[in-house]
Amino acid sequence: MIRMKVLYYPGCSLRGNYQEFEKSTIESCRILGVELIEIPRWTCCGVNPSLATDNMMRHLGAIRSLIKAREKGLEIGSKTVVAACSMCYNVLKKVNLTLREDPDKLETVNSFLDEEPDYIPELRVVHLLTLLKELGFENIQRRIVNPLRGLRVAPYYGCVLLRPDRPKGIPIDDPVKPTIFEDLLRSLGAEPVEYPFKTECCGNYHVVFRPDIVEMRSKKIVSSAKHGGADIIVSSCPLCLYNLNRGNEALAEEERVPVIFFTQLLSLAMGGSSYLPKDLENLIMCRIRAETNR
Amino acid sequence: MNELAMKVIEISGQNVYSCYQCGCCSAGCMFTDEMDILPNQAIALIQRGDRSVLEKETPWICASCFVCTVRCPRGLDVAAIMEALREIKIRERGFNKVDLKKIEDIERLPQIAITAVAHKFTW
Repeated sequence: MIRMKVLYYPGCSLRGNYQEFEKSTIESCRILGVELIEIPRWTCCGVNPSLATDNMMRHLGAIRSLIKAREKGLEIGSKTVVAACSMCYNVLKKVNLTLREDPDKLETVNSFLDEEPDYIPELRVVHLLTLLKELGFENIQRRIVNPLRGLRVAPYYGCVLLRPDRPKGIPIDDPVKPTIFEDLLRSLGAEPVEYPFKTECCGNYHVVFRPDIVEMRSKKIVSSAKHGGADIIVSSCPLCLYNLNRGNEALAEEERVPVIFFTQLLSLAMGGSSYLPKDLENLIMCRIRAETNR
Repeated sequence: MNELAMKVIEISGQNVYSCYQCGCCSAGCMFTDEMDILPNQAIALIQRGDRSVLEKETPWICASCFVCTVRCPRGLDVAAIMEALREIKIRERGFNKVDLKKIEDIERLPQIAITAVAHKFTW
């Protein structure tokens, strides 16, 4: 069994409205022998990082968390920060890479933040999917007690796992033809669904003031997955999940596809709890049993 | 170089003059139905120093999904150019594109959506 400790950045969604994401993440990692050590006193990542290159102000939240992560990392002997939320991953990754590549920005930040120790950009930020890939999907496959045979799952990548492509290193896989989600799903015994909208945008923050835009986008994405034969859609972004469900609400009942976090399937397949509502878990289990009995 | 282009280049770090108007950004954009001008047209206006681009809806409809950025054959970060147009407005102190007090259904919305809106639409 793998035994390792990594630094863990939960983010506000996992602590707020989407606790099933955190619970299933922690449970999955525990089964795999990965101990998630929470960064002490982490702060908001900033969500959508500012794209202005002349102003580091909006990156400071992420930087403060990285400084604390580095300190904690020295204590536990880890330089790897893992985030399960796509948004958190994207921001922390971008900020870390920017500071690593641009000494001027690093100096600006360090001279501004005088209450904290200087940030030395030696951490590595990874998304949970990348960590799982590094552990080896074949090792995950060995731990499956509840193979998701017959379950047709549409992986929804969305934007920020794959884009932007600068600074280099943000995309967790090929930005145009990613397969990391599919590879994981296959190791769980599930059948990944191929559909053309898996990397398209759900409308992001427009859900606040222009929910019509989000509905328009999300209906297309859900319908595309449905057309591909999906029983369920998995996501790693709380905002995508919320937005796709807004799309579901705008669709007729028979056109809908439930959206859950990928860690819920991972945990379930490895014999842990899925933290799903009962009806949804029943739907998944029925699908698997039907296939197993065939 | 005109003043507007200088400002956009300063904020975005992108040389807007390297755009040759191929329209790849607009072809890939999923939100053009809601925009009043296309992303490549916005860049053309910046190149000409036409400040009317600052009053267009296009930069505010851009959802920073970065499809244009990964597809631009000139290597321009088009999303960052849209951000620069928003920033020029937002840096006029007191400018808010939206009224955060008017968010409906705030308990139901994910926290990250609200934080993102505050970042992108208010000064």
